[in-house]
Formats: sequence, structure tokens, C-alpha cells
Amino acid sequence: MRVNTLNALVSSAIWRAEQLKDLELEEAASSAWLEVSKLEEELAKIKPAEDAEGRIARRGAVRAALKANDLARAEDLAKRFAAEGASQALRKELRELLKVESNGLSEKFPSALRHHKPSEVLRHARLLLERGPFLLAA
Amino acid sequence: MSDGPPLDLSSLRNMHPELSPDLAVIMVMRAALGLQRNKHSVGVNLHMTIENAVSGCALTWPAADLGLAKQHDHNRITEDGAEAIALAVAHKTKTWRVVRRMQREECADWLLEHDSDGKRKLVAFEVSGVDQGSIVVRMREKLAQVAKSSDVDHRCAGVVGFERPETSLMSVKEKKYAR
Repeated sequence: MRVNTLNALVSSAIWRAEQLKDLELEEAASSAWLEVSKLEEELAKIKPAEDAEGRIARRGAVRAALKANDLARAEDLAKRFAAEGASQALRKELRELLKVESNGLSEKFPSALRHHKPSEVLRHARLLLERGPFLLAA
Repeated sequence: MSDGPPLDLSSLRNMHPELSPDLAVIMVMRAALGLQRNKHSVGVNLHMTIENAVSGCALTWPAADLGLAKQHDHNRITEDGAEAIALAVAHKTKTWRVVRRMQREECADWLLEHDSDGKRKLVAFEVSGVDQGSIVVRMREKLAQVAKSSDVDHRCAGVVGFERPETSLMSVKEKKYAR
């Protein structure tokens, strides 16, 4: 049964991602959390939001995307889950997850956030780190 | 004092068929290392306290090469080994079965299931291990943590102490969540 396979896969993926994080292998941990997010998303397709497991999978998909530093994915998932009929309580939980991430950004980039979405700010911040300030002159 | 047949960790996947094979192998090996580095041999009596009821049974496992212990993180041996033992005890004493692992922010390590009056019930199960010393304080901490878990019918903490060895399972008083 597909849901059992996905449950086994997400269990292994979460365990692995947590081990990588504990070892402070940040890049590998990010990839691992992205895998978790995708598996949780697949579970969310099978388990309705009315089910406890469905809610756990939806929170898990958004949370793992944030842990993978993929804020755009997290925002998209939260929006989609809300549109698909998540309860008010679940929508609030998902908004809270995104808010915590945004609060972290707002401390670092308060001006940028006045003009751009959090996912765009994060993307530009990463480019700046990778390619240096000359990127801004390009 | 020993109640019933031995608890065999090599049968962990028979108890929990949804536990992935790779995870089960590592957990059982780390349980073996955790027990053997505390000088326990296969068949040692495992003291169990299940919701304050005391019992015990023989614990068996596939023996590990203690020389391999240095290849594993000391704390991971304790924590992953504890999960193998606690999951085995949860199945033996309460017929609970693994559904899936949960992310830490769900305030529990595992989502388990069982049948109650023909209905499927979900359990949030938080597990921790103590290599040496008392498990009492750890149990209090884990109960407080798992009490915050939501979307389940039941919340339970399991703590394994490798020195004695012992396992304690204790449930949080059930709450009803309106959704």
C-alpha cells in the first residue's frame, strides 16, 4: 500500500535529516530536509486535512521546507494547503510556521522586507553571500 | 522476576512492520552496543514499569561487536538504542505499532497506532535513553514534552535506562482537542 511505503520512507528521511543536522553538515541536511518535505507533501495528497495524519503531513511539509531553507516552497505549500480546505486551526499553524521564519529575516533585513516578499529577500541574500557585493552592481 | 517470553529485539520489524528495514537495523545495533557497553549479556532481565505497574522479562538481541562502538556517536547509541527497546516494549505491553516517525517539533518521536473497541487510535510516543543513572528526571521532562503533542488520541513517554537495564512507559492524561 502506497501510504505505508511513504510512511516508511518519511521515517527514514526524517531520521537521516536529524542525524545530518546534529553532525552540523548543513548542506547535506538541507537536501535531506527537502526530501522530507516532498515525502510529507506526497502523504498530504493521500491523507485529507480532516485526518490527524493529514494535518501532521501538512505541517511536516511546510516545516521541512523551512528547514531546507526553501522559503518559497514553504509559502507555496501553505497557500496550497489553505486553498485545498485546511481548517482554520491548521491554516493558523501554517501561518505561524512561516511567521517565525519571516521574523528571523526581519531582524536581518528590515528594509528589504518593506519592499519585497520574504522568499525574494532570502533568495537575494543567498546570492549576495555566494557572489559578493559586486552582484549589486550588475 | 520475569513475565512471559523473552523480548527479542531482532524481531523488531515483525512487531512494527511499517518500520523501515534500514532504520530498524541501526536502532537494534545501537541497542546492542548500549547494552553491551554496560556489561549486559544477551538474556539480561529488563525491568519494566508500565504506567506504574512493575514487571520484567528477558531481553535478547543480536550480539554486536563492541569494537564498533567507537564508530558511532556515544549519545546516538543511547538514543537510537533506547528507541529500539522502547518500541519493542510498547508493542509487547500495549500492542502499539509504528505508523511513522515525526519531526521533533511535533513534540514526539513516533506516531503509533492501536485498536481500541474496534476504532483506530493514534499515539504520540516520545522516547529517550539514559546511559547510566536514574531515569526519573528524564521521564518528567519527556512527559512534559509529549504533553504538547497534538492530533493524537494518546500521549506517552518511554525512557530506557541502560545501566540497570530498565524501561518505563508512562502516559499523559488524555485531552480532547476540538478541530
